[in-house]
Amino acid sequence: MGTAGDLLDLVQESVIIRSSDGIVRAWNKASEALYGWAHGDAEGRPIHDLLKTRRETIAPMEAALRDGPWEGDVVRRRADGVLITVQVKCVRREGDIVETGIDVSAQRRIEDALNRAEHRYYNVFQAMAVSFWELDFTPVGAMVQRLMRDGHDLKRYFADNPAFVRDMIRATRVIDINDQSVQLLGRGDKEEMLASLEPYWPPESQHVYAESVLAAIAGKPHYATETRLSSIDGREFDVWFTACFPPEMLARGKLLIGIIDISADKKAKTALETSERRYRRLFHFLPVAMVQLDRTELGGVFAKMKADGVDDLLGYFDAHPGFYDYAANSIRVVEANRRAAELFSAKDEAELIGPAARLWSESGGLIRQSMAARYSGASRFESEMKIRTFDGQIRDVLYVAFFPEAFDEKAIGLSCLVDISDRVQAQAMLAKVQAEFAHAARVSMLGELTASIAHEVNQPLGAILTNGEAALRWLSRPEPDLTELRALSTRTVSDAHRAADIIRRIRSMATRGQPEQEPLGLNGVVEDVMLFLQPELRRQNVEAILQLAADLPDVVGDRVQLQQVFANLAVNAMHAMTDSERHRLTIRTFSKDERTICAEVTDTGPGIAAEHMPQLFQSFFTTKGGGMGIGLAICQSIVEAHGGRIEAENAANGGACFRFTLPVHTGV
Amino acid sequence: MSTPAICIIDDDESMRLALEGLVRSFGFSARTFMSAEDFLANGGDDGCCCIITDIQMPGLSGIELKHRLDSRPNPAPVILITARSEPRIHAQARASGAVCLLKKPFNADTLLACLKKAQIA
Repeated sequence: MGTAGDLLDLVQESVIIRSSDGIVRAWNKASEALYGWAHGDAEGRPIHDLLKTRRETIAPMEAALRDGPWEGDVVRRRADGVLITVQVKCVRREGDIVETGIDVSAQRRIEDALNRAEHRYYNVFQAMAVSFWELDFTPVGAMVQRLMRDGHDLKRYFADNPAFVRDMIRATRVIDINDQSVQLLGRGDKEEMLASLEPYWPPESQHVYAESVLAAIAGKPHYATETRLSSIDGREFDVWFTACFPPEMLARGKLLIGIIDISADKKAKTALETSERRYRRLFHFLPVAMVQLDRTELGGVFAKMKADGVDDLLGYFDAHPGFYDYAANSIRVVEANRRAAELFSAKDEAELIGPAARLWSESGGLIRQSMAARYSGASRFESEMKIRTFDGQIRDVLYVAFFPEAFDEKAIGLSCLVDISDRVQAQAMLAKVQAEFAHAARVSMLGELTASIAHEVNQPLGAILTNGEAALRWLSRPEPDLTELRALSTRTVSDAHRAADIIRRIRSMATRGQPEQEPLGLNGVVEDVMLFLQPELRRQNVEAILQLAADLPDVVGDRVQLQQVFANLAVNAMHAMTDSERHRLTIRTFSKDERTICAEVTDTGPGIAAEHMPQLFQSFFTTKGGGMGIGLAICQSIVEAHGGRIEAENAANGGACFRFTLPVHTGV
Repeated sequence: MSTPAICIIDDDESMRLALEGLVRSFGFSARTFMSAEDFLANGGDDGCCCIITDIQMPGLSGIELKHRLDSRPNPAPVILITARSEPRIHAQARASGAVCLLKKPFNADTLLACLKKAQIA
């Protein structure tokens, strides 16, 4: 065996001799190199165990060897664990089996990769949503070479001779196309299309063909452009056209083109461009100041905060001083229109571009609220606010911020600013005039009131005084005349009653004579008054809360007078809260019992001083600087004229609470 | 008509009665009328040594009555009384040539002083 082993060592390839049941008898040097096992380790061991021959190979191999030779690829594991592919040939020799083997791993790997690449290419070629064409342009190559030989400048020649380009197109043959191509440009029959390229090439796209030829000749790897092609039955559409010139294909006179239908895209793009243009024009020429804001950075920060469970942005601002500044500064004005530049007294639109915070310097609080609105998913925010222009003026504007969903992914916001300085000024002026007028009216009313009070009351007072004086004189006589005295005293008493009657009459006159009587809903009266008071509430920054009981029964009374009661109480409440920290006015209506309804006006002011309580509803009692002291007296007159009662107390929160009752309308 | 009487004209009944009582407590006799028209129609200026009249009354006012009486021979002196305080009325009253203008309420002594000024007391 030793001699045979030595001989085998002279052979370059691996030679193994084994028994028919697989025990290794001889193992040459080349086998040692191939498999990594020394012959001493290998001899006497079952070959398939030693080399971990892949199981599925063993059975067919051994079966074949019972009858004759076998050859094939066998995957085995070397001593160092590496898998190798060995091309094996086995023959039977005197009951033993002689096996030769060559390592073909590298070769097989390459083949495998090649197969896979081809498979991939085929898949791509067939399955992609792109129309692929393999073209043979050998005849075209010949045509072009002729021109070059004749010294023509190809570019110019193609431009001057469209018919020649047409001929080139006609001479180009379609060798293969994928299913997409049949769908896009054919009629469902692939064979029909394996002919000239001409039907697909409308005349106005000829230059594209010419240019791709020029690109191929110039050695460029590919050429791509947008153009129009035609289906086999003449329907034209826009395509993205790519021609590839891999050198090895070019050498064989072949080239590959890809076509993507972009007609739908192009239509959409045109529509988009049109609407974009329209939007720009609108944005820039609208007579309303507009700025476009980019909050990309903040959007990311907010998204993270939301993910971290932050729900209350305003609270977060409070807890993180400085975060608002960061947030406001990270929002940028990316575009502004002409009217916005005018509003801010800027040189031009460009001056507004930059951090948005400097535009809102006067109204940080509102911008916080605007951010919070956006944070909570609102689609708009609206408020009146003040801005400081670049030349230092303060202007009142109506600020409307839109957060359009369409711009969401771009994190774009639109803000509209309407200059309302004039309006606000006019309103303030009007309110002042109104207040002055109301005051003047009250004063003049009081003047008239005093005159009639004087006249009416002085009559009985004069009589009382005169009677008294007469009585004294009768008394000072030596014999007092008791009859005279009795008559005088009787008249004095009746005159005193008369004086009191007059006072009562005057008070009812101050509440406007005969009230209208009609069934009405108290909630409606409150709502009317709130409407009327809205500007004043806003001006004094008072938060009004209405808690109006539903299904409140009607009362009978004079709408205007009852409005006067609510207005009076509400205005008093507003004045009371001027110096308070909180400005909250609450109006409640509710059923006290089935025959009485109740209304309450509560403020968050300092409340009523204990010593003032008893005089509160008396005429001419006031704690206000410019007050006349008739408001509450009139309220009381009105409420009592309606069959109700009014009272005041201090509320639980320390503010004042005025409460009055009215009887329920019992029907006719 | 033995003793001349003081005539009192006031539409306000209690004032009228109070004045009558006061005048009688002075020791004069008194006659009362509820309006200037009532006074003129019932021959009030007959035997009237002095007229005390309110200014504001339905119909003729006290001032108009004074002017009316001035066209007669030897008119009785007139004392005007009023509950009103408008300066315009006071000026008219003084310009009418009345002996006195009294603002209600007034003291008995003030009235007595006026009666003296009218040479009654």
